[in-house]
Amino acid sequence: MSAIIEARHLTKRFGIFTANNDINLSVQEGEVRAIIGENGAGKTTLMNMLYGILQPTEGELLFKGQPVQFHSPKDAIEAGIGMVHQHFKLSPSLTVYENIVLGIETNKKLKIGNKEINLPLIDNKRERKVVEDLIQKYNFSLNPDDKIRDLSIGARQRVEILKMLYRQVKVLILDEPTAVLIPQEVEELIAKIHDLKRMGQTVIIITHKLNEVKACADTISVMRRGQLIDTIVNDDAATAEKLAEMMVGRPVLLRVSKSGKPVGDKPVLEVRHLSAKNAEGREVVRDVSFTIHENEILGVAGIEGNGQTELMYLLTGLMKPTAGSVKLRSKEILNEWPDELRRDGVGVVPEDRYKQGLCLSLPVSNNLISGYHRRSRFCHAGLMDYKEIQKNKDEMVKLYDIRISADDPPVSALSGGNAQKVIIARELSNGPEVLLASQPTRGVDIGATEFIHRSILALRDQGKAVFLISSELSEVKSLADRIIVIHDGRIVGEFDAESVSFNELGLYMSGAKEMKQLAGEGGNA
Amino acid sequence: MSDNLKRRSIPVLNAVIPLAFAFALGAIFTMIAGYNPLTVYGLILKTAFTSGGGWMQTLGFACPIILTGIATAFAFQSGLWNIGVEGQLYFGAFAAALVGAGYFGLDCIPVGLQMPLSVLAGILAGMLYAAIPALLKAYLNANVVVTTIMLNYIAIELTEFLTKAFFQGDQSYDSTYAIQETAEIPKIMSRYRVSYAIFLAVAIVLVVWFVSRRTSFGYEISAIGRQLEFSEAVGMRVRKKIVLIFLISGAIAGVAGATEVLGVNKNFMPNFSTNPGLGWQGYYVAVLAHNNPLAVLLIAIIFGGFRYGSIAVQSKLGVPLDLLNIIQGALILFYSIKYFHENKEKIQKHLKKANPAKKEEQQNA
Amino acid sequence: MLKIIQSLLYYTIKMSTPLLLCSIGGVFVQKTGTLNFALEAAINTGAFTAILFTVLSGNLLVGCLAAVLSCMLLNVLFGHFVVNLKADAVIVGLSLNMLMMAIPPYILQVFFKNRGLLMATDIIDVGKMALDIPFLRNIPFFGEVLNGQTLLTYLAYPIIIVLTIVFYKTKFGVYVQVTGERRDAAEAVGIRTKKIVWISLMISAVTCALAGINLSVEQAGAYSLNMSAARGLICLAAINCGRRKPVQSCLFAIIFGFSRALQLVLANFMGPDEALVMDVVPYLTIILVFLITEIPSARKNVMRIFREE
Repeated sequence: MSAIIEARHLTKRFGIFTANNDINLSVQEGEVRAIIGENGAGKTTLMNMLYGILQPTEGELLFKGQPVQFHSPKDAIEAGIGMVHQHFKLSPSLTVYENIVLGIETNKKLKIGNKEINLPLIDNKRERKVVEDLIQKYNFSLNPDDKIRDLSIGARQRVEILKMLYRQVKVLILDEPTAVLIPQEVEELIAKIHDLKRMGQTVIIITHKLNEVKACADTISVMRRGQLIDTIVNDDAATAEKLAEMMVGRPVLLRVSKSGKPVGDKPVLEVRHLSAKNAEGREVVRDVSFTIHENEILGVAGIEGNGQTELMYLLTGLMKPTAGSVKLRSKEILNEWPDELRRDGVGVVPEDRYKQGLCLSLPVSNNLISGYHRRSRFCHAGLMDYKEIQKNKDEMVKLYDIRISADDPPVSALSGGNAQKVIIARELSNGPEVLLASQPTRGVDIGATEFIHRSILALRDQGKAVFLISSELSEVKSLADRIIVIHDGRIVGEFDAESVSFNELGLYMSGAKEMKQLAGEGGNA
Repeated sequence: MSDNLKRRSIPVLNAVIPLAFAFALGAIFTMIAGYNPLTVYGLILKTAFTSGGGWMQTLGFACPIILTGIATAFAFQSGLWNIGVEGQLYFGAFAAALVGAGYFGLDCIPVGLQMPLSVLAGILAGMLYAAIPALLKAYLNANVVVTTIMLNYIAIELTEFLTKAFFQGDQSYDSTYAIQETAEIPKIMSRYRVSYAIFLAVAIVLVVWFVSRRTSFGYEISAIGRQLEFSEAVGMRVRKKIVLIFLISGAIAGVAGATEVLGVNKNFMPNFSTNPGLGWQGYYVAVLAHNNPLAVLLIAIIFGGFRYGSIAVQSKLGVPLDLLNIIQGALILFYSIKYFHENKEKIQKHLKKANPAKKEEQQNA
Repeated sequence: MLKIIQSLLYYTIKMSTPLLLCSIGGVFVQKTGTLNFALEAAINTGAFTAILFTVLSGNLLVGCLAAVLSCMLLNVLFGHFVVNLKADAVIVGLSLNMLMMAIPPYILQVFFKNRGLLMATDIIDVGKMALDIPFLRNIPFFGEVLNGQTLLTYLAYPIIIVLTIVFYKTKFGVYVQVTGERRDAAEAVGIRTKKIVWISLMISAVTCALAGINLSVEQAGAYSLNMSAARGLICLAAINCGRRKPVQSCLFAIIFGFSRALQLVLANFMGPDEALVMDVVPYLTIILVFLITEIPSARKNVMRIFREE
């Protein structure tokens, strides 16, 4: 085996800031290499240099022993390096095959005698045929005529992979490929990676999920704070704990420690027969019922796009329901507007933090009061008390360990973890009865994740209720007391978080299994 | 220290460079027409800004621009592209002229109330007309720029039609009857254009400034203007606010129209605001002022001076007034580019993209 | 009655021509995700330079060529500011509109001593602009409608067909769609999206120039102040209502053309002062069409909160 990609002293700087420092990396032909590291460790910068999106400040890149310079992804693809991004780059209104051939379409040819004339029109029929053959060759389950917008996340990922294989790349880079998949889909992907390896493909996986790395990588490179710490062979000595320690630079508790305080009996949030339709008229939330008690965290497990987003919108007053009721300590709160909900004690950590949770260009101090800005502490007779707002900021920054560079920078200058802490600080400091949190630690580094988890658990122990949606199954399982599984807008299972297994949850998430009688609906329904 | 100086000079440079470009372009056009640009520019400045009388005229021309500027800026800072100030101004002027002239038997209004009620009529008309794009935006999400510009055309055509068909006065040109003398807004000095409305304009600027800076409504406006979905998600009731903001903007536009009729023109003439129109000048001012109310005041006064100076230049030298419109249009065009970036912000963006962990480490140190 | 319907249809076709031409080119630019308010300026530029250079050179072809070139220049300016310098497209577009409302009267006043009008009727015979095609003339009823239109009216439809095929069936068209929908997806496979925007701008420049030529040369033989009369913005509305698809946008352009025809025909039955009220019809149509097209989608909206997009 020989090195197919080699990086020598690769350095990338942005102004005064060094994102990648003196990286030496060598990937062998035909191996599966994992590159792990925390969010912001420099993995993506490194891959972007391999893929021609960024150009190194110093150092050189070798492909099959030859020095190369990629000025754009196109150069990289032509050389034989393809990348599947974490956020897929597909055009939703085009079909599967149109997306796969995008950029290198085949034109119709006109035959006159022996001469072939290229017409300027695209030959859709032939493209479709070629893609169909490709799908068969790699045994992917896809229909070339489906529009991307109708496909599941897993299928979109397969389209992205095929898009690269169609371009006959030798090296396939997968950026956080399992972040959005359910356990079964992850297994399938790992199997596909093994297949590709057998067919001679070199695969590089960027991830921070250690279990999956253990399952499919041959070798593992660890990055931390812009540097390549080490590359080790994936053997029994490379335990998850050891890898985590290498990533973070200190021993890490991979498990959350709960207080063990028992769940209370008084219901806080009671949701009954809640339903809603989307803009196309399809029912996306179907007859959902559950109860959350004092001292309880209810986790929602489910594949993304099965109604979690809409359920969250309904509970936070952003979407119209078609039926149902939501009671907070026996007060009906369905159809209340977001400001009324906050007044009644509903704290919200929205799924899309940068669109709904934070105003990027407003300073931290202003973000820390939004939604609560008319409370008498900050606002007297319609006039804002900016002194008090600054004081509040100083308190919150201290209490919630929000790390800011300047005195009061705009939120856009904060890292993902610190930005999320701003939301957590805002919502928790205003004394909610129930906290509705969606994806509270997505894209957040390990340190901030630990902090956010502890804050949520502390709130629970104060006798409050927490509703937690997360696509990280391990997060749901480790934080929640009880888990409900949502599939196709319906609650299909309810479990004690302690005793249920990942595989069991996966079966319900995929819709393969379903409970007949759900406990949550009993009693006062 | 020098770094600080550099950073401070950036906004100044970003403001001066477009000014230089715009006047250079204006100079080219002046020379095409066979005039010396220095003479022309010199005369404009001298007429407008070097004598007490010049200042009085300048303020007279600035007064409606201050109002349309602040009306536009108030909507713009909430992210609402209300280009319809022109149309709202037309209806404000029209309504004020009708009430002031005592149409519909309104000449029975007691003397002391005529002027305030005429202004109020202007305000209501402006608000009502602004309600149309407001509702279209809030409930149908129609493109505000397109609807407001269409409504401008409708306002101009409709008031012309109404004037000619129903309210033609005794002048030889198309216009309504003149307002009653008792409904006029008195001039500060009878020789000069400026009326006491200028104090109203300045007061409105200060109120808008105070509301945007200090009140919870102002806080919400700034959030809505920056990020709509966020504002809604944290409970600011964006639909209602959009309508409210439009109504306020329209009300100020109505004041502009009313004071122009009651203080200067004394009657409503179709197309009284053209080339390019007081609403459009307000748009220029708002863009250049970055929607800052105090900057609106300053720039509107400068624009008022340019207008007065250019009118003098047109009558003395024969350079068409369109020259000023060319310069103003070019000014906005060149102003739309940032010539120097404040590097700091740019780097921070990269930092965020590339490596948040690293940055935290630096901050801890 | 039959006569009225005939003339209504005739004027619908005639009045739709500039809107159709401007819309079909504008679709490409809008589809790439670039909000181009300077369509208005482009029509005005085309109309003005066509007459100006016809008068200066004494040759209609020179005038038309100058119109196309100056529209391209205008769009290069727009593209340079918006694509290269990343300036706010709305501000740039509106400024160019204002500039093109100020430059023609300035030039006309300085050189022709009449800031509102430039006649070229001694070079252009407007009467001859309407073509007489025997094949069309002999169609019963529709002969009166279809015959006697101008050259660009007849050319507009093949242009629309060709550009629609380009939009859906060629690489460039697909790239335009992807650029507007997912710019990152296009760039990830090496499509140079800036180039796509630039080509779209040039297509739009040519069709807008033709729209301007139709207005000034073919319909009037003269340029008058603000000749475009918000047609660029009306086209923008047509494109928005047509969801940035070529055929749908053209249908809306025809609806707006019809409203202008309605204005012209109905005004014939009124006194000069009353006829003025008909001037609002084209603009009012836009507002009404917005209402009609947006209400169904607003009804379907399941979000309680206000979201853009």
